[in-house]
Amino acid sequence: MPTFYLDDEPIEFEEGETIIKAALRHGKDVPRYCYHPALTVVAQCRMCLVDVTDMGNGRPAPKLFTSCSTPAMPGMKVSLQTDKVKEGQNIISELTLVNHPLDCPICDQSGECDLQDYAFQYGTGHSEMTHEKRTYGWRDVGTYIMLERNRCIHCSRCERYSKEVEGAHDFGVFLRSHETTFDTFEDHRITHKFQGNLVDLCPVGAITEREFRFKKRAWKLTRTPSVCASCATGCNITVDHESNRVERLKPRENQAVNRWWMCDDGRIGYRQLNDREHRALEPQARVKGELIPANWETIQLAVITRLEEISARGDQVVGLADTTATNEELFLFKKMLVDCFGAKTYSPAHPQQAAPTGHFLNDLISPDKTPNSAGAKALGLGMDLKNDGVRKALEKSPKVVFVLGNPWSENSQLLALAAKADFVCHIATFSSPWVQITDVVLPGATFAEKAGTYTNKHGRVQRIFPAVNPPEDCRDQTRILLDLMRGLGISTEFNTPVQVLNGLGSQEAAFKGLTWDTVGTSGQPLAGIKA
Amino acid sequence: MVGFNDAVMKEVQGLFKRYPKKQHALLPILHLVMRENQGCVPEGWEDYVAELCETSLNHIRGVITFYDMIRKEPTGKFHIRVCTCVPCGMCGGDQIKNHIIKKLAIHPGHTTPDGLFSLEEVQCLAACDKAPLIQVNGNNPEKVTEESIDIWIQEMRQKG
Ligand code: SF4
Ligand code: SF4
Ligand code: FES
Ligand code: FES
Repeated sequence: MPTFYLDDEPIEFEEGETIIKAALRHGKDVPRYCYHPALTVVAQCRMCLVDVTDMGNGRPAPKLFTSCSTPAMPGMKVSLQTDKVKEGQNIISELTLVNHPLDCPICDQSGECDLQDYAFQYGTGHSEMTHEKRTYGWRDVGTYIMLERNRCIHCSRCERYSKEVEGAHDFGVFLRSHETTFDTFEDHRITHKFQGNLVDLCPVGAITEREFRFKKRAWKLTRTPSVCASCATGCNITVDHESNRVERLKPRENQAVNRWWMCDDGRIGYRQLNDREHRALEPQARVKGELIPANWETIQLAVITRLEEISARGDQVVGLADTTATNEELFLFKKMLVDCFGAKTYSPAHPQQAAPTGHFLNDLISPDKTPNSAGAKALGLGMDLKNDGVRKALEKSPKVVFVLGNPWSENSQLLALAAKADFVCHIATFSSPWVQITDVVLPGATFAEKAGTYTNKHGRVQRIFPAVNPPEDCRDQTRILLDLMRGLGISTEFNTPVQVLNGLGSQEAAFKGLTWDTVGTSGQPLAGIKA
Repeated sequence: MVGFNDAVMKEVQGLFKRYPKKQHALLPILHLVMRENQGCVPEGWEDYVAELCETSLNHIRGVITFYDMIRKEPTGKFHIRVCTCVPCGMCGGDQIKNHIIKKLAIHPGHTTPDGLFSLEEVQCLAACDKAPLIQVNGNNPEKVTEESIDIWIQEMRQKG
């Protein structure tokens, strides 16, 4: 591979690759605003200047070059350290700030702002600007975003994203020179489902998230890697939280899944994570027709006793698992049903929702709104879109029905069939129509409160991590299931979701060769599925 | 009415043939729009051109607001371009501009209420030997003085 030198360090590059691309790939930091790997190169912010002291032919470049638009050459010597390049960076930083309001104390971007960072690192700290700054007011440009043009540094990422990635071109660039503004057309309001990506792309606080405005200082947030649970695509995300509250969900780059993006429906998934109103918050048991709170020990004992009393086997027991459960939970659930009762588990399909298609972004939104249907299928749970198998199983009047999560709660016909069972045990995260017929409620955790893995629609297994603690009386479903199994007299070597996944790798053919570590930060396809 | 007639459409087709993509013909097409509409791009034409050139409304608006020579409002019957670039400026171009502003009581970019005159400040018209000068409706630029302008305006007002 040809090589160039960045401050004397050799950097290998592919033919035609720009200096910045090769440098970033090697973990070097080059200051930049307009350059983004997803967008065309426009070289208009000039922040990425480099001093080319040798163009590869022994001669220095006559002036500073923008590294985002200059192809690397074999033997080229490039510097980010010479006085010449430092002066260039100083001047560009000063110019970028000419009209900037410097309202960092009230700016949502503060703490994760490229302008703030680069002004600190590459600026001089003073300005010769004596004229009035040009000013604008806030603009309500989209259902999910707001625009504060005073902070805009004219990098044009928003315009290029809307033209090249999203496609609607609803961000434009108007006027010229110091009057230039990036904005939507007159009072056009953006309504598509990919506005949040504009917030992430905007290197400053010009485009901000409506729901995150003035809520939290970015540097106070802890970012826990996870996977979006709002549909079957499984976009990689971080769960940003503070004081046990989830404040926002942000995409995490994974070129094999969501690249840099996620949809706004996924982003607003954070609301449900803080929801306490519709949450199953405490263990409950039905006594004389009423659900009343009970403590975990009592309720577990009661469940075991009742199951022994009924002593149902085979077809008399049915397991219904929701595909919002993790691979580990589904595996344990299925195992419990087989080992304790010789019974079968079904995973009824959720209703599919219409989703747009057409380009990469649209394809991110899956019609299946649960994160783990593929996992349920890989584990051999009876998946059927029409729920025929479930109906047949329930028509045999089982005595015991186990419900994990909230499967097909809209289907009242099936619900009525299940209600005829002597005993319905429900591991719930949110309240649902099941609550009307269930005999016990065991409150579980959301995807932001537990560890585990989901399998996305392309068969890629990806990890989630606990970001916040579940409410006091709620428990990780893995633990609930393991406790039940032990109570029912099955010994198991597992204690944590990590151990369960590692076990899955040896016990389930589809998961062969997968371990918590090999799945890693960016996921691993199921056995037999190409990456 | 918004939209080109058949004759202009033929010109447009000719323009399209010159470029790889329809949107590349945007500037000459905007000039055609202005030729057909008293020197401006009126209400409704932006959408028409966006469709014609298979591009977005934002692209059209961006181009229109970028170039001074593309106007959104109609010019007056006499569109006066006054040059204030360096050679004209040294010969009194700015005084000429200010004189016209006072005389017509409008600023550059505007049209008199009677629709007779509109004013535009421009850069070099490539006729510096005649500086200071103005150009009316795309005719040849002419050397002017404050007095000659007074007389001309007077005449044009009378002619209506
Ligand atoms: S955009 Fe950046 S520099 Fe500007 S006010 Fe916000 S945090 Fe500060
Ligand atoms: S709004 Fe943000 S992304 Fe758009 S040009 Fe301004 S700084 Fe760049
Ligand atoms: S990143 Fe190179 S000019 Fe903006
Ligand atoms: S400077 Fe006025 S015509 Fe050249």
